[in-house]
Amino acid sequence: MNRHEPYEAQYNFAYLDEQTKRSLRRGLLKAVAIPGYQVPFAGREMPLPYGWGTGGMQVTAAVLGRGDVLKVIDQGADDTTNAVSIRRFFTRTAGVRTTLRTDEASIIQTRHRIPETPLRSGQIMVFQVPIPEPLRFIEPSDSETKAMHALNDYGVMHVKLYEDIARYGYIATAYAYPVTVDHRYVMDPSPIPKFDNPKLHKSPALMLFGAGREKRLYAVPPYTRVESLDFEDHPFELPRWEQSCAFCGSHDSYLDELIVDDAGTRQFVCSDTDYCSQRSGRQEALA
Amino acid sequence: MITQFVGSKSQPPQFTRGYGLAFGYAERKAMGMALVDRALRAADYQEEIESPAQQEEFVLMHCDNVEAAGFVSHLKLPHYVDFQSELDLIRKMRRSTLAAEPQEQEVTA
Repeated sequence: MNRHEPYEAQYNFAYLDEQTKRSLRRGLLKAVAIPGYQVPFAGREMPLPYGWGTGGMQVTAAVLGRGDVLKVIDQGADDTTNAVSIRRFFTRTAGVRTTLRTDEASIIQTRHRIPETPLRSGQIMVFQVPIPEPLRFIEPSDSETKAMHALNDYGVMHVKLYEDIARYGYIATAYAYPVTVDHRYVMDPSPIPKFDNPKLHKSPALMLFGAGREKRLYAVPPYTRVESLDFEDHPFELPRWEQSCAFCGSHDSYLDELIVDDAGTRQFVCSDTDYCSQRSGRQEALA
Repeated sequence: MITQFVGSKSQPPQFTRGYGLAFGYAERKAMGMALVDRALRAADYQEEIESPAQQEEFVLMHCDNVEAAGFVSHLKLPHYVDFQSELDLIRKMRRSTLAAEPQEQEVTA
């Protein structure tokens, strides 16, 4: 994994030209200044299709410096296609150091997970976002949703959650669970499982979100209040597993369910590969 | 391709499938067909047609452009986490429907 890809100096540092990165940073500053607010930006075409993390990559390119250490995860894992190719992309176009360890990274680009290892101050998380507008499935018109955000008019969102409770007895949203940022904007935390929502709350790390197809940026600055939408009598609940990880025995990380043979035998393993391997490593060192 | 179905009066919530078949190394084409197949079966599942993705005309007009190419091929990426959370939700919904059913019968009986 630490195999050195050649740094290709004919590209501008981190692929995008300086002017584009500058306009992105300006957008990001605005996003940080108004937590949870969606800022439009002049998205560029990237050398991979929409839906593969073009927004996240543009944000990473804009904030990346020569001294940064980059980690890229896809659904928690460092070794899946999307993560491997984005990491290689920045090794080749920026020549930055990469890592698999959450604690060593200064920038972590992620598709749909927040690492289990607590983040620290100074780290930047970059999220790949497919649909930045949390109200989109309720109100298809963009000008309408803009007005709703501006007027702090989130009644329909609560009605939607209430309808779930009336129909099923609980809120039937498992990922991309909407949050309120700093008591103001309702924000889509990207399709992270709702298990990860509490990690956004007062995180010491800076959270940046980039949607490439829809060309929107938004952010959660460090130590900002992020509350998952709920009701007093139906408080936000976290999923729990009766099982523990087959490799590291973790009880409190997000577990993926695998079917390991034709007889349908199931195993649960951590979705965060770095967290899992570090735990297993420590257990082996102790044994 | 698999998608969620919230169930109806007679059927519990479940995952449903769409199918696509193409000759040669045309994975994306097969995936696209499978998506269209499932998207256009709203009537078969007695789903309420409420989103554009359930309308034949809209689906056929919008599934052959650059953005759609990215969307379809991104489904080749792993979706363990989203799928796991959907799976847990569907199981929870099935548990509550199955638990609720006998009671309803008692009431009607």
